[in-house]
Amino acid sequence: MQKRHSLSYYQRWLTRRIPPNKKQTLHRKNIFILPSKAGLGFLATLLILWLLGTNYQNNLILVMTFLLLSLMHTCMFYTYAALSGLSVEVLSVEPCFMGEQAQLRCRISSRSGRQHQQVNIGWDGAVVSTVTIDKNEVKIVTLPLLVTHRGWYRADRLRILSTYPLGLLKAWSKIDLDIDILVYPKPISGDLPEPRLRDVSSQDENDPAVIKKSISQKEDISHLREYRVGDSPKHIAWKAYAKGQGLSTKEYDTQQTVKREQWFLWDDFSGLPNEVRLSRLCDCVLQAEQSDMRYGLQLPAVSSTKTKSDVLGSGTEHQQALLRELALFDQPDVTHPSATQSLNKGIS
Amino acid sequence: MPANNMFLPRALLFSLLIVYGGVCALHFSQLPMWMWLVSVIVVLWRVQLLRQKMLSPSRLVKALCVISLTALLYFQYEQWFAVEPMVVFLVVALTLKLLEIRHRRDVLVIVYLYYFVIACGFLFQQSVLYSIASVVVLIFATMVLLHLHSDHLTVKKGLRLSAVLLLQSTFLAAVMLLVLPRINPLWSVPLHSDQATTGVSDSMSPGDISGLIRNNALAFRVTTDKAALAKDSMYWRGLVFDDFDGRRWQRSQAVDETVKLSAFKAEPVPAIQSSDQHVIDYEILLEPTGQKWLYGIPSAVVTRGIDTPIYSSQTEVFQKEDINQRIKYQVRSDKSKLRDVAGLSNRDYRRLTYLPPNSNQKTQRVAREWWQQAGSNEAYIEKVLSYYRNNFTYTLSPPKLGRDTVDEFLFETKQGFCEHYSSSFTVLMRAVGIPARVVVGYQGGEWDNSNQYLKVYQRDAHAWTEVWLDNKGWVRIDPTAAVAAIRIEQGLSAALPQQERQFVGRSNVANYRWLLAMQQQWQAVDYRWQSWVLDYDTDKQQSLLSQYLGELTMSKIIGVVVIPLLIAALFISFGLFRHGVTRLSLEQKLYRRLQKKLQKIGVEHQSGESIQNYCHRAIVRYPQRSKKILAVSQDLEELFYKPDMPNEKKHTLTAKIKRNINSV
Repeated sequence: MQKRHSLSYYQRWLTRRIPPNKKQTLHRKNIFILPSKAGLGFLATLLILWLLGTNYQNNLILVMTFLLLSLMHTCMFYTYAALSGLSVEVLSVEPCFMGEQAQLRCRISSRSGRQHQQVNIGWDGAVVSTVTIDKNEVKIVTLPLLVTHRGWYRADRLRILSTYPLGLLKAWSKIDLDIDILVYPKPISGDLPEPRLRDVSSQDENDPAVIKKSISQKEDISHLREYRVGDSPKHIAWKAYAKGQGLSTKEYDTQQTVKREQWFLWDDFSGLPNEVRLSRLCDCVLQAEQSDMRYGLQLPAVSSTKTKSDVLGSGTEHQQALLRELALFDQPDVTHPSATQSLNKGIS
Repeated sequence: MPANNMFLPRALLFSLLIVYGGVCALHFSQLPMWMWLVSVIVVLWRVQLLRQKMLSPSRLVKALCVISLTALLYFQYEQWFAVEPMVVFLVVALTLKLLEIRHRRDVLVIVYLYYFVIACGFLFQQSVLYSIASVVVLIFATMVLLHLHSDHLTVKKGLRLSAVLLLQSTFLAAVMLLVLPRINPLWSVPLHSDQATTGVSDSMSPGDISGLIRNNALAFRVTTDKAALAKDSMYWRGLVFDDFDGRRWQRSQAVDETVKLSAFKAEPVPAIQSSDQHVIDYEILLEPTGQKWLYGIPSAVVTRGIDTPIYSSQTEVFQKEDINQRIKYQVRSDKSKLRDVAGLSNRDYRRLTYLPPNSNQKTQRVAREWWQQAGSNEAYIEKVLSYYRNNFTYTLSPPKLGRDTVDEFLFETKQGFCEHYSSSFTVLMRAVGIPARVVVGYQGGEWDNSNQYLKVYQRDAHAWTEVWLDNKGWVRIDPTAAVAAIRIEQGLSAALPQQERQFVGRSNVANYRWLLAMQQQWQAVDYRWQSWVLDYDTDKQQSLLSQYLGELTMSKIIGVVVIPLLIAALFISFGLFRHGVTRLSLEQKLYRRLQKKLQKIGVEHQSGESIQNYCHRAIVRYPQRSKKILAVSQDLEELFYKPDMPNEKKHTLTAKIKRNINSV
């Protein structure tokens, strides 16, 4: 609980005022409005005008000063209306790799019966997208977000801002869409580690050290057939082509071949820093899935890592389970906002 | 923040140029000729830049432009701290800025400069038409800002929105003008350079005063007892002209020299006894003139308000500095006599009877004949006045006069107004050796009943003559009164011929009645504009506020601030939010109702969840209520997915659902 205090007063106030939710509608309780930089310049111009009007006792200059000042007052309503009634909802959050940008798909809709011109959507310091939402229109926007650490990444509050109509005022809201992104380690490409042949006699399939002999054997080519458009170049019989026999494709006897199997071990990359090990392992998982083999992962037990998929397997689901394991290695598997935020600080 | 370095659409740049044209047009009379040339070159350059046929100026070129234009400005005006060079400088800055628009910020700077320069136009002109033109340019300038912040805005839509925004702002602006406390000038400000003076100037040649008569500006206000003012004595004396070159009257000594000399001499101020019935006390609130002399009924002594008033030998009163802001001073005048009755020296006599020998020969000859016929000074004066009375007409649009102005006026055109009469009368006096001089100032004024003061306008400017009679001293003679006595008694417009009246000498007006009526209407509008907008000041504000609010209390002040804000808010919001939130359909409302009910007992609705699913969860949690919930679920789905259900059935179904929801 001590960590909670490390959040600034502003952050805590914001959390109370605009609590996290997957869908947020903008209204008077979560829209803030202040003069923009351009608005301050405008006010400075008006101050000079007022001095001019006062010193020359010129009513028309004063009238114009007041007219422009009250124009700013009018704009306040327009700027507020440019945001009020907009709804933002997260549609999906895909996991991503470190160093990549997470893609958040959001739906922006309006029930206000008004057009919302040039709504800026983004995070602090970066406008990601500027959209105009027509009357009762629904728009889907994809917002890229640069993730900065592995594990569960809590997205910042999304900032929605408008300076419509004259740019003199900015209305904004910072909404917490309750987004947690699973961030995998950044894959560092390299060769797959040499399979270790430690105990050949063991027949236990799940023993990580056991590698079936068939792995090292070349798969048998059953026959050659004529090349067809779309065949993989890997499977072209280049030797035959070189002999001038024309293009032909190697057909494998899948029935006969035994799938390669390999366990990737934490110790395969000993000597490297932890994060780099994870990155290499991540790459292995990706490569293995590509090359159509059965594979598994053996990570040392860390207290915070609870679930383990200690099985060999293949397929997207298996891959994702392993990647998740890598992502959460030595990271808390919690997505609660306050907990992640405070922990994030501890790690970085 | 939106990206600063953005692509500026062509439409935006073109509208910027259009507003630039408008702003320059508003300052048509201020901008020197070379400025127009510069403007045209820059606009063409800008357009070529847009079409990518020319490069944007390099730093060196920009620096050269700035330096050469600044130098030109200095040669033109030879000073900086006057309004005109400042405004022209702003326009120059604006013009050069057009060449280097790269970011949004540059556009912002230009638009703010537009606002500023448009407002500066009111320093030079304040007529109704000019104000309307300014508002039009203002709408266009605001449209440029709109273009910066919205997509695909057509010019028509942009103009409409801009006009609507400004219109919605007028209410609060008007309230601010009426209610916000007004402050006196914070520091003294320089006036225009070549229109350095307003009102009567320090010389008089034909046409000078007629220019003033078209001016409806206030010259000064006189606060006094109304009874003390008699029409025939309201000659607000300003300057005395004793030097005539055949066409033009002026002081034989520059005003500045007089002030300097007098400061050393420190002429004793004659005491005036207040008990005398000719003595009158009053206070004058003088509008800035940019000149040194003060106005008053002769012989005037300033009793308060001016630190060291200076009295000249010709009974004029000066202050040391130019009057660049409104001043208030108290005066005591002795109406019975002009002060310097001591007698004229030979030098004075020669000076006051001098006429340039080669001009107005005929006048001098005729004058001598008339004097011989009359026999005495008094009889001669009477003869001259009757000549005026019988042969002359009073008009503000007299024919142009050539070299011998007095000859032509007296014997040929015989049409004119005060400056012609006073000038020719003085010449006629001097021709026979009677010392005479021209006096300029104001005559008459308009009593303001609500404020209890006399308002003297520029259009009341007047010129008359003072002659020296051996036994009486200086005597005021107003030859204009001989021609148009009504001018003196009832003011200017009464004296004019019918068709000239409403326009105070504007031009020979067509005799069309509808045109006349229209022009009368226009005059009325112009008058209201003058009295309600241009003349609105602290006095008027206070009397208005006290009239409608009575004594100011805290709660009233808060009301005055809050109520207009609320009204403005309502007014603007009506336009914006009148659509409200899109209405929920009947079935959505019912579903919302169910959700609320179930939420109370702890079953939260999740976004995207179907009715069936949601109700199923509720049933799992509360199996004992399953029957009711299931019924609601089925009926709701029927409502949702059978939109073409007959109304009657809809009603019964709705009622059933409501009943069931309530009993869940």
